[in-house]
Amino acid sequence: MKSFTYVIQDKEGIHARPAGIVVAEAKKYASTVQIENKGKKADLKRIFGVMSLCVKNGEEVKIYVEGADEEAAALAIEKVFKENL
Amino acid sequence: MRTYKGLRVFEGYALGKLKVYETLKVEKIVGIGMDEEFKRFEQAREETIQALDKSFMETLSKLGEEEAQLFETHKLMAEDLDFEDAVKAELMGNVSAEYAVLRAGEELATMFSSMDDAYMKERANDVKEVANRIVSFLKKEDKGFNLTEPSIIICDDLPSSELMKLDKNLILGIIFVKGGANSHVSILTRMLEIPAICSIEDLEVTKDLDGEYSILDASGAQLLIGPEMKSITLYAQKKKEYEDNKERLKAFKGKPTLTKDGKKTMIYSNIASSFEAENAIKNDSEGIGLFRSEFIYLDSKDYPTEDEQFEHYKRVVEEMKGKEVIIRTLDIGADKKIDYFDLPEEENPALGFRSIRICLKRPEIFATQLQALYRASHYGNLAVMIPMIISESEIDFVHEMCDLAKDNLRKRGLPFNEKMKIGIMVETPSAAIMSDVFAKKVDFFSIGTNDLSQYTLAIDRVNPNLTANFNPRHRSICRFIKMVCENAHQEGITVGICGELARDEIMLPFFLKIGIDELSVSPAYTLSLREQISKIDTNDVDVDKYIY
Repeated sequence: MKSFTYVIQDKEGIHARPAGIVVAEAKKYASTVQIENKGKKADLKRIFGVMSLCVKNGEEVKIYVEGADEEAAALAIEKVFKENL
Repeated sequence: MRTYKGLRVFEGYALGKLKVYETLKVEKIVGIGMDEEFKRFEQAREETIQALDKSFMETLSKLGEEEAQLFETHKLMAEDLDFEDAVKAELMGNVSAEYAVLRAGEELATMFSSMDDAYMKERANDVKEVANRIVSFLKKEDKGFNLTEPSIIICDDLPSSELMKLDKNLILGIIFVKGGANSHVSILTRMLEIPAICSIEDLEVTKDLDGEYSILDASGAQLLIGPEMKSITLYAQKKKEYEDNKERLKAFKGKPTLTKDGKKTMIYSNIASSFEAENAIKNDSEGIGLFRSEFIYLDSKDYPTEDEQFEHYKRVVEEMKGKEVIIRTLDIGADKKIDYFDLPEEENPALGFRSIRICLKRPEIFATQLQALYRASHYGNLAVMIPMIISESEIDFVHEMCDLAKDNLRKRGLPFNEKMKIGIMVETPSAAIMSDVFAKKVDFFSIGTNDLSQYTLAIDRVNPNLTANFNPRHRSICRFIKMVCENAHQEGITVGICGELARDEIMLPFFLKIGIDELSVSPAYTLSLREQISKIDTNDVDVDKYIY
């Protein structure tokens, strides 16, 4: 399993637009991808799950990637977080 | 003629035939088998996704990326596995796909509307809209609505994707009978500048309204169905005046506010909710002179938390993109009552336990608000204004409370603007008389002309027997305003006027002559006020006429 943490820089937090972008990226991989914030976990492939965490600016999230393509998936998803959030 | 009252979405007038957009009704509740219904759902979802792609492209080319992005999010919602799971769960009950989709949409919408975040709360409508879209494909009705001639659309509510699809040249106006003024479709309607009203009681949208000649008076927030010739002539005239006026005022857009002799002043907006900031920007306002924070308290069932308030304040300052935003702290009292404050009945509420006086007695309420304000100060150009000040000791109290709020945020490691301006409303004779002293202690003054007139003249401004005596142009008030203005400038601070007197044609030359720095009015008057100011030469103004 791969994991990384990221502190949200976007002023609005994970709002609808960037949530859509990270979800779309996660969906490209076979691995399961989860996001954790304030002790709650959600499936990063599901927009409702991600938005329900209501992650705000300055908060830390932890991403867990597990599966055959976890290496590539974790790298790509981390990049998308850095570019959009 | 039948007249219906509503709320304004966007001003203007429309005369023409009604065109009914019927809301989806799901009659078919029992399904034809789970697998079969799920296949129907998948098919309709696919069609919805294609339609959303189309809406995305249309909006992108007409309004830009920010507005278009919402359709992209709608698409992800339609594709979402949580949504699919919810549909599957509903289908287990052997219901139709239509029914299952609507229920699943409501379920997820409830999740959003229960969130403690204004932005997320609004997403509930997005989910419902997506669900409705899929249902319309299930019912094969999506291609049904189109305009063939210029019409006034009447509907319970309209999906924003439908609005974007229609030929805008054929939309004369829109009536959202059950819609709200801040739904996504209402916001788009304002961006497109289509005259529209919403929230109408006692009107049922049925097919027989189709083709009825009507007048939509969006400026007056009313709908007249089957008007007489007299009304048609009257409103056709109003429409022409409104449109000519709008065309003429365009010349003042994006221009500084200058008098004929080149004196500069600023036109700010009075707003009562964070959603109205958009309106201020659209009308070319130069800032927010009065943001009434009470609405956050009025809309709430209990004391709003720091986070809730912060979201509202942040939204306004960000929306205003660096322009100054003056937020007035809590201004309630026995006349503007809020249940959970549990304020006692008063004989004389105007002179009673209100605004800063409540904050002095119950500092915990004030502390929460100040912390939220300081937090929001990091995101734009925010200033805070304190109402109903009469004494120096109150100003000292405010400064102490501000220091505490700053300490609190420092301890929590939250960013804020150390130098956020703190000003006061000058709306009591006491504050006006003491303004030379107060000017040394605060960063700006804002003159509240309504209360200052009421307290100076000792006239209740809503007493019907005294309407004729209530003269806000009274020389005593002019003297006060001149004195306050001079005292402010003596100490190098700015002074504004908020209240409708700011655009009074008799008072305006006086305000400009004495050098009022900022006039704050309803956003809709920004351009007409700028035009009015451009015609005034302050060299021709005789101040003595106002005070002697």
